[in-house]
Amino acid sequence: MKFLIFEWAAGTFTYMDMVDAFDKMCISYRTVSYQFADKNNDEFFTDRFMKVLKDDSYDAVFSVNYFPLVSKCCHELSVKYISWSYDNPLDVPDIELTLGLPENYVFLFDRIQTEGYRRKGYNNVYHMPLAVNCNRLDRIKPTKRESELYSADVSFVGKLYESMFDSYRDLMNDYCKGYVDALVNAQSKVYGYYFVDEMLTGSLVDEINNHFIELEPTTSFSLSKEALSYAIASRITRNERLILLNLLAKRMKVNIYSWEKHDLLQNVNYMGSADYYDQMPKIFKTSRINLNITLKISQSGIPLRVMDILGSGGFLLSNFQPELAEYFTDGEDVVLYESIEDAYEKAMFYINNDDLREHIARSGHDKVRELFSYERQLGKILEISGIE
Amino acid sequence: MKTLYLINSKNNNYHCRLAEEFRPIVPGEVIDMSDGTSLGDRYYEIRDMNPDVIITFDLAGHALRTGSDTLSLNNIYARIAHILFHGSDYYGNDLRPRQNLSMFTYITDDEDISAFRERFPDIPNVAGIAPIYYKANNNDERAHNHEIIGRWWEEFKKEAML
Repeated sequence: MKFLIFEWAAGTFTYMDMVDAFDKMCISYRTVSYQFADKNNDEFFTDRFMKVLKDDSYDAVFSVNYFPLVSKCCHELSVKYISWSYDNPLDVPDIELTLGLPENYVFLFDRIQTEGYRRKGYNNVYHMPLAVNCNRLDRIKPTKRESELYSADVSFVGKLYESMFDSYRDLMNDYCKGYVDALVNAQSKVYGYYFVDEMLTGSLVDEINNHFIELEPTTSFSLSKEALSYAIASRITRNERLILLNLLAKRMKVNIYSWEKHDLLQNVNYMGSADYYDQMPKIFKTSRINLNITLKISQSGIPLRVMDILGSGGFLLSNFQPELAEYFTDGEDVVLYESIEDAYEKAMFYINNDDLREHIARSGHDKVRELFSYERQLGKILEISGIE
Repeated sequence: MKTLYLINSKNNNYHCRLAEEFRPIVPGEVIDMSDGTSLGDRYYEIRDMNPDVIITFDLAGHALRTGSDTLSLNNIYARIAHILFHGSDYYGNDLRPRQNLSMFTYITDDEDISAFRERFPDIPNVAGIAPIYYKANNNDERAHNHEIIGRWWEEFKKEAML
């Protein structure tokens, strides 16, 4: 069995673990990579990629995340294209133009997102939770110096999300401003169900766009429902992250690892960015509590960060996510919160209960090892894709 | 067409002279990787210049790496030509990292392209380039260089669909 792996630019987080699993599964592969300026149109890429595809005989093309031009090339040459995404949303403009091509087998980690595509008729979109390479993570042992450097009561690895929400909102009329503000407030209080998409009706989006035109008659900008939904989700997530981190930092040592420093964070130690393969596992291993605050638009799935925390043997305090509660037991393998107040109270409780915290971390690690290895998940993917 | 040359004059003192041989044919700005600028700052400087073409001598740009030790230049949307003036053994492990499909590696004429491809499978595009005088001492040598560079440039533009 031989795959052609397509990698985006300088690499995706899960690539090394993926090919490690391919090696163990005795799957041969060649990898090519490319940076797109436009994911939907690139004559040079298409030409080069087709040459590579024709150069050898492959059972399938495989990529982390979905690339429409790879899909088109595979369609042209009738080669199966398997993609497995850790991004949500997929960030592919006009994805519907290629998603339904018969060579595609598209795997998404979020069940609700998958069901959304299937309801639209894309029966080649499948749900597949992400994976973790516990063998690699178990081998990583922080040195004494690293333990001192990374240790904290609470660590959070991730960005705060710069949302376009304010920019869009500034251009809305008073009614729409009030409507989206209420939506943000209401959704902020609800965990486990994202109702924003249902509340953003076509007539509301039309009204917003009509007001844009009233303000700027020559504008060609048109706000899509998806873009507004993402802006709202990222605004809510940003608020949640800011409030919770600031709240916790009043009572304990909180470290944040992110690309950007944020002035809105008070008493939170900014630690710079963390390398995925080397630093991040050490942070998870040496922090007493590892926070996961999922981007609101991810409605049900288990984010990669959760897999990484549990795979590293770290203690996880996460917002409630339906699939997390489905596979893991709250209070035994992980700890889930359903409001900012709940998160604060649980952090205060577990920070003072070392034995219980360590027991939960061990149990979460054992379960993620058992249920979400790369070999296991990739095996399922190959079976669904009809590749034996 | 915005072109950048990436050289390392500290490791290879002929790079500056070679860039001057290339620039009459392919005008562009020269960036010396050994001028003391930190690699992080250098990467963002190159990225923010939005080059259409990057020409590197002896893999000078391979010093720019991501946290996972992959090539940072893979993140830049540009056509990139890596011109090697030595045999492949000279570069040690620098020929091992995966190069994007938009990168073209030109090896010395006396090296076997098929063997090179087999040895370095993560280099997607390989071709040869004829020898160039490191320093043209007279008009004949200069004319020779310009002919070789001109021919190479035309081939590169065709392959890179520029």
